[in-house]
Amino acid sequence: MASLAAPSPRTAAPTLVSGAQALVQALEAQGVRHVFGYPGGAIMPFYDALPGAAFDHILVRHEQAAALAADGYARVSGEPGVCVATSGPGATNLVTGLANAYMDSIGVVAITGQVATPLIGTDAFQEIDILGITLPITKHGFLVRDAADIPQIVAEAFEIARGPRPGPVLIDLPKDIATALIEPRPAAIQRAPRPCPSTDALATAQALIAGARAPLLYIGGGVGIAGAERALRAFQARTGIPAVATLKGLGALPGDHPDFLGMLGMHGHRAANVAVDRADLLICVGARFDDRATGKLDGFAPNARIIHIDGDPAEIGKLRAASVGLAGPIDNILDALPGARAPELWRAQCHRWRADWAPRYDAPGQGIYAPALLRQLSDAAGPGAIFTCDVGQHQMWVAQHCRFARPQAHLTSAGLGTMGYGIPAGIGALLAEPGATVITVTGDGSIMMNIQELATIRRYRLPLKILLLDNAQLGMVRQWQELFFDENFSEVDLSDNPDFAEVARSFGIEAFTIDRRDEVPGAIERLLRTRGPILCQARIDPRANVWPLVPPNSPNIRMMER
Amino acid sequence: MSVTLAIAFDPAEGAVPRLLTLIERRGFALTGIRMESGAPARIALDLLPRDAGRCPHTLDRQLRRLHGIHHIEVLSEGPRA
Repeated sequence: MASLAAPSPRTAAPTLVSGAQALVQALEAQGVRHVFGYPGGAIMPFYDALPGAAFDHILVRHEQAAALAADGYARVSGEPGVCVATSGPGATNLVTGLANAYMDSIGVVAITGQVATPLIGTDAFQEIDILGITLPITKHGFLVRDAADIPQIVAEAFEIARGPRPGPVLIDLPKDIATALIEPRPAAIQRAPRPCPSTDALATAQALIAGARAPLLYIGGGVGIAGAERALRAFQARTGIPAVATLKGLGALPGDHPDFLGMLGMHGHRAANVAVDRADLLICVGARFDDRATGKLDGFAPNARIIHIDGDPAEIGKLRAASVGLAGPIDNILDALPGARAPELWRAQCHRWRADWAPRYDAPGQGIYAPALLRQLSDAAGPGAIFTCDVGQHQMWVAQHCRFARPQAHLTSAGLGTMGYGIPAGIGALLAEPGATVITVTGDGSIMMNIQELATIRRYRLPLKILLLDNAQLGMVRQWQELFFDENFSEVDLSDNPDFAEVARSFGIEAFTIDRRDEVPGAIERLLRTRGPILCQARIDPRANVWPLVPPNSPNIRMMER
Repeated sequence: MSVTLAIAFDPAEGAVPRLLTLIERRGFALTGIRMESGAPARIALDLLPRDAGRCPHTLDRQLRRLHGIHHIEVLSEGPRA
């Protein structure tokens, strides 16, 4: 007769699980709450192991959207987003999303199915070397060769994705490894110590700040990534140093802060670009001197010495030599710098520039003026709202005219410039912060890049508010053709677009269209009041341009205005 | 100016092509490769910067970000950033 007593641990048979089950357990161990994915042949064992998982799977309608939604989720939650795809085309469809996360330093863990190990390298059906394809756009990649390694690999992947500088990590899982029965080995993670600046370097930086007549903070996305907003705001408050921000740095200081001069760079505010030009000390915090921010690099901040503070030592001196480089945790560094009060003469000058060159919203005519619409929408939505953008003119108008209370309130594809980012990012943001008002601002070019995700919004009843600025053009390309290609308008006409409101309704999403300025207040009220998903198509002047604009290969001080 | 980097690293799958991809993308031509297996593995890479703006010490820091890199030595000095 068999004993009913529980077997002693010493004699118990090992608990065997499949590789796919081990993967699910490892994701649960990381505290994952949502994964974004799309099933297919080689990843089927993972989907077979999903029922009962402690996290939700969000079925998108294209793998690119899975990666972009994971990106948006990560930006808002502060934890890596997870996306899943099958081998071959499923994996290659992730590539743009992974590149997007890589360029903007966003933690994403991508899991791809792979053909069975014996078939790797035989040109099998849906076989692709996704590890090789993603080498330049991931921080790291794993091809799982032993299912027992899965807990360790997943733990390492999340650790790498988290940082100190976050980024995407790939786990490629062959089908035979996913079905193999194993006793998982426990994971053990060792954290490398982070660099800290020397006291000498801190003292040098302090002396530069104390001696500066025109100091300026140049804030980048690294502040939000590092969670250093508190330290940055405290440093700014005790010094009064005026500030500018990159596209990704917006929100690190509140947009309505009196010392904040706005975004710098190609479509930056005049006050910001002029202040950079006149500064004698630039304190770069979590920014990387990228070309959209600097314009012609050797004309950028020509009179300034540089203090470069960054979580990533590789950014120090990469493009602009620093007088002092301070690599390490940004919040610790800022807290260790007492700073010095900025001269009142300089602060007053910055305040005058800010007032004199403040954006105007009194455009003539009765048509919808996009900057005014966005400013009204931002004011009405309040500081808790999250904006996600697509790419093009509307992206720059959002950056210029919306106000962000925190970096996580502005999700934009800054480095890669991915058209089609906005709606998937909105999906990710809503799942990361379900109570938030999330607004996707898109264009009639961008929305077509991932319009299928309207089905995902409907499926999960996500209350995403979509503002479509429709100029029936690829507006930014048209603007450049007008200004820099002798008005040779080539392949920018999108006047044969479908009726987007009808398209949205066919997905089961409430939608309406406006054409006139006097319709704007009611449209904003309806967008914000509606409980479920909603799309507002706002038809705008196809000739509208984004101003100011720094021409290519020019210093930022040479701004074109309307 | 020719530069040689000596790198000790975990010989995980994809580690060598990841190193080489990064180096070429960051503006250095590979002119010589010597590798010894082991744990860690060691690789010596002879490089030529493609233009004057490419700094081997910046490349050194970019390579150190990769997972599984143990040690890097820049054997021929370039201009320090």
